[in-house]
Amino acid sequence: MNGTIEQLRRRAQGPNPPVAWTDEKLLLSYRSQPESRVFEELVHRYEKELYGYLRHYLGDAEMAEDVFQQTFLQVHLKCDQFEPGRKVRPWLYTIATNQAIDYQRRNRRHRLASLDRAMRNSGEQKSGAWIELFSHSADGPTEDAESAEQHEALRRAVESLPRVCRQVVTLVYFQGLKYREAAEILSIPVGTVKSRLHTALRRLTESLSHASAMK
Amino acid sequence: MIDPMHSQLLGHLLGALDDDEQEWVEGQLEHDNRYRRYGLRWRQRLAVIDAIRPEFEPPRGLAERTCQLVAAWSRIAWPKRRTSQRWKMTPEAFFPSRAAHVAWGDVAAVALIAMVAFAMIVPAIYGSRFQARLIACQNNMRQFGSAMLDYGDRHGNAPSQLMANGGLTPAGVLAAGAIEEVVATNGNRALCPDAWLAAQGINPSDIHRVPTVQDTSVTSLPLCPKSEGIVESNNRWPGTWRNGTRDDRREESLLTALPLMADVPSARLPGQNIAAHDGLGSNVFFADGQIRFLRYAALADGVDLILSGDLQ
Repeated sequence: MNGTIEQLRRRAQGPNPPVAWTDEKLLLSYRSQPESRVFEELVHRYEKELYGYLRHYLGDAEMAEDVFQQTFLQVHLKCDQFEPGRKVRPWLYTIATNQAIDYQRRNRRHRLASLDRAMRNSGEQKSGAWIELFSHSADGPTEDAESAEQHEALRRAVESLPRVCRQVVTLVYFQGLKYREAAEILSIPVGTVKSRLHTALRRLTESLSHASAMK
Repeated sequence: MIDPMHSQLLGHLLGALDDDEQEWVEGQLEHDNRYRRYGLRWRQRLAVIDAIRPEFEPPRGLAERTCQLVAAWSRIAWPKRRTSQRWKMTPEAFFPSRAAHVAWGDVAAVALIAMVAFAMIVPAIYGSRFQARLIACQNNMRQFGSAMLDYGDRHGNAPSQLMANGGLTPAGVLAAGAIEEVVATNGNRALCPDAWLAAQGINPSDIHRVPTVQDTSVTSLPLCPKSEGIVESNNRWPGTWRNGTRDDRREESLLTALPLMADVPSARLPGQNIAAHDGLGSNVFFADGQIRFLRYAALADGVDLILSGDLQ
């Protein structure tokens, strides 16, 4: 089904579609001649990857969606600043990371409640959104609850990391970026990325192992 | 201190190394059992996280909504500047977030209004602060003056004369004791600054310094030229004193505008650098209890007429 939709989308784009272009060519083309189909192709390519990164980083679906949109708005506004010869992926991740940091700062004291946000009670925590409770799942309720609990444990463990370690583990471990790319995004040396990742993963594994041993 | 090879091993497991680094690590693993064991331990550790690592799917329609947002933004905001266009010096260039309908006339009008408002507000604030300080001094002087009058009524003597000391001339320097002598003999004089008198070749000690109040000119006075704020009167202290003791002879007197005390000498005189009341004048306490603020007058040689000074 998704493949058919993808074919239809490509056909609708006409001959010489931007689907076959590299990320760099897409962005440079958009910079010189803004076209909606070029921008749409770029957004679709990074939709899942960038959303997943922001979801891991922020820990909240609604915040991740807001920051995702802000990121691409910044891409539109600042595509003039993209230099030929650079890679789009680190540049995009840099914008997304900065937007996420700004968003967290702005919303630190203003936490709105809505049905789409996770419900946090004093005694228990539920992962995911309320709306997800109504979605169909192939697993049984026990498996779902256990999975949700494990996700929540991982989310707590990641949130307990220092911010600098959290950034590195999200980029390298969760998103699969290379050391060099993460270093470029965070503007730190590669050696710093390696040491922070090593520390972060060691803490995560210890924390999760300890949590599972306590049960 | 982390063994560099350990972080490379971790990068190898995560696929975070560059291609050449990846090949080098694989070569090391073939020869070194220690690193192979270390890599195995890390693999087991990461398996704990991998087992519970969530995969997040983006919400349905996220990409479309994002494109619509950017398209809407492009329609209402300043159009994205193309690199081929020359940069124009327009208000929009300085305020790009605003809608593109700001003219230089609008900016000039706002600046003009701001300047006019500032010009109106600042003098008003200055004037009100000046008045506030003035009234505070007058309140203090009223208490000094009342005490002086009360002392005179009780003891029949004027309070002790306060000696002036150049720039530290305190309030109340024109004590009644200084006035008694001149009131008893002469009651119609103007106070002239020592410097001016000295310039005329007149010994200040020969002049009767009796500050009096009158709003008319003093052209009849031989000593000081006409100026505003010069005080003179024909009034005398009720009763008279000679040499610090009260005389039994009472002369008819009008207890009105006989100045008894001033609070600030002219700031323009050499050695006088008191900046109270911004050097514009002095509060004068009169025998009837009133206090008036008299502005200093600039004389021909630029020296103000002072109302208090050395009593030599």
